[in-house]
Amino acid sequence: MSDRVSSIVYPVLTLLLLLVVWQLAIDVLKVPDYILPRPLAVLYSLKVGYIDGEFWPHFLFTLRSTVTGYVIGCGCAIVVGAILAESRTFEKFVYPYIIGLQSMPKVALAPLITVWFGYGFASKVVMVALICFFPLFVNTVVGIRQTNPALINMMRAFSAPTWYTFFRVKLFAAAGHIFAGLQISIVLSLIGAVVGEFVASSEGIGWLIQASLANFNTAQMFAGLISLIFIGVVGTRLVQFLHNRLVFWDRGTANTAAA
Amino acid sequence: MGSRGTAAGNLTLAVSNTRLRSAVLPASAPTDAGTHALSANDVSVTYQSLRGKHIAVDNVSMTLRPGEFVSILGPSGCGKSTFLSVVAGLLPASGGEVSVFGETVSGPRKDIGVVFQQATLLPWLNVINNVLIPVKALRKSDRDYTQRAHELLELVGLSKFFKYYPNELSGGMQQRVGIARALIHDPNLLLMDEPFAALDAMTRERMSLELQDIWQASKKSVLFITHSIPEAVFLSDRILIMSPSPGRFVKEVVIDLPRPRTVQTMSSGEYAALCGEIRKMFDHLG
Repeated sequence: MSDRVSSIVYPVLTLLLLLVVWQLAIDVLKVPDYILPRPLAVLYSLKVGYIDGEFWPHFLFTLRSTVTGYVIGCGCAIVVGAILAESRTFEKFVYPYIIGLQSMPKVALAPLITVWFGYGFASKVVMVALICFFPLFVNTVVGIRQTNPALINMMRAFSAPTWYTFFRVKLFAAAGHIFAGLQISIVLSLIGAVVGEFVASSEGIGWLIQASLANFNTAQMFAGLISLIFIGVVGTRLVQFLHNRLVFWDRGTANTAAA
Repeated sequence: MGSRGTAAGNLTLAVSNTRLRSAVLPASAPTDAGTHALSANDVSVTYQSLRGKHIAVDNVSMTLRPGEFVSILGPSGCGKSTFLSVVAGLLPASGGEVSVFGETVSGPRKDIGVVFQQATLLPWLNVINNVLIPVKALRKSDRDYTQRAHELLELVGLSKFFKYYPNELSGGMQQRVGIARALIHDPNLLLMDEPFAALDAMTRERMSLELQDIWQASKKSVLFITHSIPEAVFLSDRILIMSPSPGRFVKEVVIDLPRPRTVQTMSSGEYAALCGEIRKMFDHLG
């Protein structure tokens, strides 16, 4: 079997095996539905959700707040990271606070954010942006500062203005690190969205999972989880693809990022 | 300075070009400085380190005539690269003064080309765009220089590789791109900081031959830093021998081997004698 085929077939076999074990375990151990749903029940819940359409508004709500927050958070992280990497003065002013903020679990802010930004879309976006800011921010700073000094020296020798060296050398040199941060932030942004919905919301996949608790609808919880996995995997793959495409000279780093 | 209206498109690299230019430059600098491509007067560089004051370069003086090829030869850590950084305007001298074509160096200059020990190519740019870096950095239209870049790549034997990326090239090829890059903005003075040190011995020898050809074709003034005696003897008109801690010039050796020098030169008795003589000087330095 060729590598390409086996890399698709083997995981599918794993999944089938898992489903069989799952189904057997329920039958043999007589696990009630509200503890662990049968695989088919999860599939049915997904069908009701996406084909009959009940889940769509929630899916889109979570997707929208995740993507919006991700873009805002990552944008800020790159800009602030770049400024901090370039300006020692700026670093001195803000660095202690950034460290403090970083060591705080961001999810603990969720209730406050709800107070400030309400129950709707805005508070989710803020939560997501906040939680995906830090890893990318740190990666941006490290990436820019790790630019090979020989390259910077070379640019100086050829009388390149500082801003030119920044945009044409340092940002490119940091690209591998930035993409690694973008990949980590994808997963974190989903956490942010779900936590935001857990705390206060009336829509979204996170809310759906929590609402399923009321009637122990575990099949719907699983369906929600699978939806979140789907968003996470597609997002990560997309960033990986862009990483390979855009940072073509540094492919080694593309698939090693923790995601 | 810098704003020379040379037609960038043609790579005639005229023989009399540098001479002509230095004659045209205002003779505002001290007496004969105007005739020198480079002159350093009592240049010192001191570092403040944890162990106290460290003198890297100690009262070094030298001159370089237009079109001349001068090497600074010395062991690693003797301060020769530090001196080159001062000449390139990358490092301020603690004392003394450097002038290039009669103008005091106070920072990086647009009429100097530098070749570094590492090729320092940008991995995200292909060969031709790497060659064009100095031009782009100076915000000149690189369209005017593309033709010249191709001609320079021809000169360094890489014309077919202009679309390649640095990581697709060997170390020697990368270094040749670095040389083409240093020449793109038509500098009058070329500074080379151990450009072949990272290459294997065989590539190194071939690069010496090629550099001689490039130098003879371009007639640039070259200050070449090396720790290889054979390389210095093969390439130079004059060799300045630098002793370490503190770095200072201890001897000057004029190499009058006929040009163009060839592989035969490398095996000639005269060449071997010069290398031997210089080696003996280093032995005496200890």
